[in-house]
Amino acid sequence: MLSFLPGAGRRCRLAGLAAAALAYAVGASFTRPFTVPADVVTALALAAGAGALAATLRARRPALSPAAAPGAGRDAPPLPTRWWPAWVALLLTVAAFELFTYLGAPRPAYPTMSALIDMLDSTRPGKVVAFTAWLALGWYLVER
Amino acid sequence: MTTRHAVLVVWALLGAAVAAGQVVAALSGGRFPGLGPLVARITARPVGRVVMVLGWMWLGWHAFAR
Repeated sequence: MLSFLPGAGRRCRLAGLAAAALAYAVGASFTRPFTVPADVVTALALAAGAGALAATLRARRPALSPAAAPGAGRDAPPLPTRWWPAWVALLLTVAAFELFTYLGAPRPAYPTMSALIDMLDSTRPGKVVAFTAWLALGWYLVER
Repeated sequence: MTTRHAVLVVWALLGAAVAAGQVVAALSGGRFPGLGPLVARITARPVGRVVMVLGWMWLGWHAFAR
């Protein structure tokens, strides 16, 4: 019905995926770490991610005809050399602070990123948000 | 202010810096790149994409399972 609109099918597919991811995250919010249900729910998402990654790599594998596969043979996009070191410096600062807190003692006085995620996961809405964000990140990394 | 509070403030500042960078990137009309081009640079090669997805897998397992 909406096929005359460019990208309408893709938008519908994205909306369906987002709804499915949200529903899955709600289900995952009923599990607790270090339990079998949490292992299963997380492992299923990991398996889906691995499958999607394999499919993406196969679809974008350089073919005899570069036009045969979407994204095949594409070059890495150039980075603006003036600004990207700022991002690298910021990410290195985050990594260094994570190391600092990881080595800090006593542990409760030096919360790491894991502790921050645990704080978010400690409530059901927080876990839904965190799990949905994690699924979205996986989709972004596989599909982009 | 306890050490724990100071550490949480630093985490908040780092998170705000990342978020501010993304906002500036969105408003700069391409003059200041966000994290997207950096990730695109890494995932343009299959090895980079696999490494990023493996990192995502570790993050999920660490945060939600173990």
